[in-house]
Amino acid sequence: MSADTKGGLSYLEFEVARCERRIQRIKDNPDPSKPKSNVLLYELERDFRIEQLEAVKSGKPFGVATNTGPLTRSLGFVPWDAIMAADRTHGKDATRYFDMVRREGMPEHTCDRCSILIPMVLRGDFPKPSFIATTNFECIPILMAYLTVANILDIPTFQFDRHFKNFKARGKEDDEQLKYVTDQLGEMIEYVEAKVPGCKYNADLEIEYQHYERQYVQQAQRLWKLKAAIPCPLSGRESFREFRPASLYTDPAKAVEYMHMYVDEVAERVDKGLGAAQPEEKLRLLWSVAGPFYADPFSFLENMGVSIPAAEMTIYNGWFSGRESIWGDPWKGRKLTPLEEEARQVDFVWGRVGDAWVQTHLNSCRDLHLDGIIYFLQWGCPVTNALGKIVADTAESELGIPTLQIEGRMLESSIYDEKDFNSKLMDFVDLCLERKKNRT
Amino acid sequence: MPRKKEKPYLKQMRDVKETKTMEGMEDKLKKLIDSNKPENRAKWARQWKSQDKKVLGLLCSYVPEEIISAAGMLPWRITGTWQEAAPLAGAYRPEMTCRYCSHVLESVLNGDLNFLDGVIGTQLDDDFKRLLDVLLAIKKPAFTYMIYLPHVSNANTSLMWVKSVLNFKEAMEDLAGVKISEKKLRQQIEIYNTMRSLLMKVYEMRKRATPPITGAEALGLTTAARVMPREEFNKELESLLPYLEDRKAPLKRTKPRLLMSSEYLDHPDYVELAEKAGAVVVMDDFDTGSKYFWDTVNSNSDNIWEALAKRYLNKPAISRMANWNEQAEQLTKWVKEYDVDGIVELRQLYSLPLDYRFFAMKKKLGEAGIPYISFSREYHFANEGMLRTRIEAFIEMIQTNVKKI
Repeated sequence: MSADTKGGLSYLEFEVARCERRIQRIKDNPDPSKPKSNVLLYELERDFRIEQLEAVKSGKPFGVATNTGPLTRSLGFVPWDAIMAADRTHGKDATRYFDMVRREGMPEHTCDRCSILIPMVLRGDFPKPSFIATTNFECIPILMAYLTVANILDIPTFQFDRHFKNFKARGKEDDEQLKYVTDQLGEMIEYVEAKVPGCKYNADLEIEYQHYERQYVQQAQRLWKLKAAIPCPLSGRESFREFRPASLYTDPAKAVEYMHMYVDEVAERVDKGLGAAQPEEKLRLLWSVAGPFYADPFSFLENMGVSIPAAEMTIYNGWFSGRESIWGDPWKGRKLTPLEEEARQVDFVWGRVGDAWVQTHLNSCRDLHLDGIIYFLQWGCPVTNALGKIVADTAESELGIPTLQIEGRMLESSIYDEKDFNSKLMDFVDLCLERKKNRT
Repeated sequence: MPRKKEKPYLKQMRDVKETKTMEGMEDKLKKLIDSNKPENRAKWARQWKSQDKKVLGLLCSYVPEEIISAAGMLPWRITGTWQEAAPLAGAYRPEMTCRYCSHVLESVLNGDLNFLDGVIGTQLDDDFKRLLDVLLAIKKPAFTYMIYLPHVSNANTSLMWVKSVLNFKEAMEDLAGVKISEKKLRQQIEIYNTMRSLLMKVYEMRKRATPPITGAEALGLTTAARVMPREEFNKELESLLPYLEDRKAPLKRTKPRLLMSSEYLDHPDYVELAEKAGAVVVMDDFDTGSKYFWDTVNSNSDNIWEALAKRYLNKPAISRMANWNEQAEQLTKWVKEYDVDGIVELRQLYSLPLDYRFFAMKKKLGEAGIPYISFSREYHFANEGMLRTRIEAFIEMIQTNVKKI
């Protein structure tokens, strides 16, 4: 696949326009059933895309250092969030990109988001990065997709690793691990400063961004407790919404403000006893891994009295529930340096050994009083796919709750059969109701 | 003194003896090449077990086998079932996941691998990591170990890799109930280096205009090395070298010369396919082939553990390693050394690293002017007709280009 030299504007311009439309719609005709804080969220999204557009025009470097977190910005990059941008490219656009990779011989079964980002960037629909860090802390498809882009466009890359100590590494405070990752991040900073004009590491800026991250996640921790309320105050779509770090946004203080306002609104719903499931909440399920972004199975479930208080992805529920350390938490009684802090956070649960991924499901189910798990077997997701049965067996034996493993694609909708998908959901709901009745 | 004329009947007897010797050597070679066939591959492992010694199944060419041998156990590379269906594994692994891992799991679940005392792998990629997770969860076999393998080789990661190797050594000592002394390790390194040198000699011979063995036979040899006790393998192969010096591979044609590329490929029929289509496979970059034995351990090193670790981390890399430029350079080097006309890459279905790398490889090999084709294959041998047609088309394309030049 050959690279295009277009400016990388089309996606960004489209997103700015989409956010503007949404903001205007809310201002003109506010929907009382939707959070008022959505305006702030769309403004954050819009401003970030505008920042990216301006960066393209002015030649400011784009990059991804550690999952678009504080280190990325403190190196002087505008975050390059191609993987998240790909998530928003579903339906016809996704099919168009897939047709491109298919023509080049890429197989069908690779992860949707990772496949899509390649033509998005190579064609110039999304900006070309100046630097990409590749890592092993999340999944192989992201690592490989980034390497592909970097190799084709001759972009400087730096690979850093977390290590695995047989099956012993399970989110424990491991000094050797911390030093290992921190040292590599130090090397990466030297590499970036040498290779990417305009980049210089600023530790003070990193501390500031980490501080915002802490405040932001603390609000999400408040939200986690509210999610446990019966009925669940969140709609499935809200639970499923992708968590984007505060430092991704141009104005992280505003991101914290948004999260605060949003959680306050959810608290109000709890006070009023409002829930999304209609006419009343009969079941509470965990949605795991990913889902069909082009469809709305959540409304379908809510209309059957089923709420989805949480989605299980990466490390998020570990942060929200307080089981995983967040930015600024002490490490064996001491404060971490900013770089050590960054090193600690690049450790997503689904990238660890399988037991951690199984346990986070059990924890979420216990915390939020859930009756079952919908485990989305996403095409091309090797990090989660082969653990579905282990999650299901463990949830059954330890919590007595069933799991539905349902196969599907995340962004490519051409094979999606809504009737078939929903009928599987419906059968599972019946099973869960029956099981719940027996449990009680 | 005039030379005494040989009596005709004596010459006849000598000829018969030589022919018989030749036949014997050919039989011996065939037997060695067939060692990894389903009916043979567990033979040595069972013999080993009958002596009350442990056998460990390996999933990855990065596992330092010398350590296992030094602990008195047999490292035995796991070949998954070559049957098409993997229904038992299907309960754990959806269809669209690495087929090698699924076929290995099938063999574990159907009892084919019950003789194994443990399984060792690395977090090679997510598929392998999850296969090990499942084996650990179902406790089949009783012992499962995952070695951390970095994605790059630099000062930091090399140091951690050495630690990882030392941790593995301790685990092997615990499992075998023995101490692995430096002396024992050095002895094993000698044996393994010999094996590598012997295979290297065979691969050197493949540079000839008519190689002594086919590509499929070469894969038979490298996979044999991984299921037999290494000393026994060395003896067998060493005794065959003089015979191989004179042997000419049974090939229809000796041109075009192909390098075949793949990962986790252990079924020789895939290689034979290209040779049936009218080419000769003179080199491979398989982790089950050249990348298994390439480069020796520096046995003169004062720090033998470090030397061992270094050999494994720095040997020609497979696609999960991030050094794709070096991987392309390695292929380019082999293309020159083996006078290769084109590269056929058979990506195993649902194994992601190679699926992604081929985009970059297409660009890099294209820039180097090396004809390259890449398409998917199953783990077990399947889709023969379709694959053969594609390979034949590629061969025709190469030949047309050669004629134009």
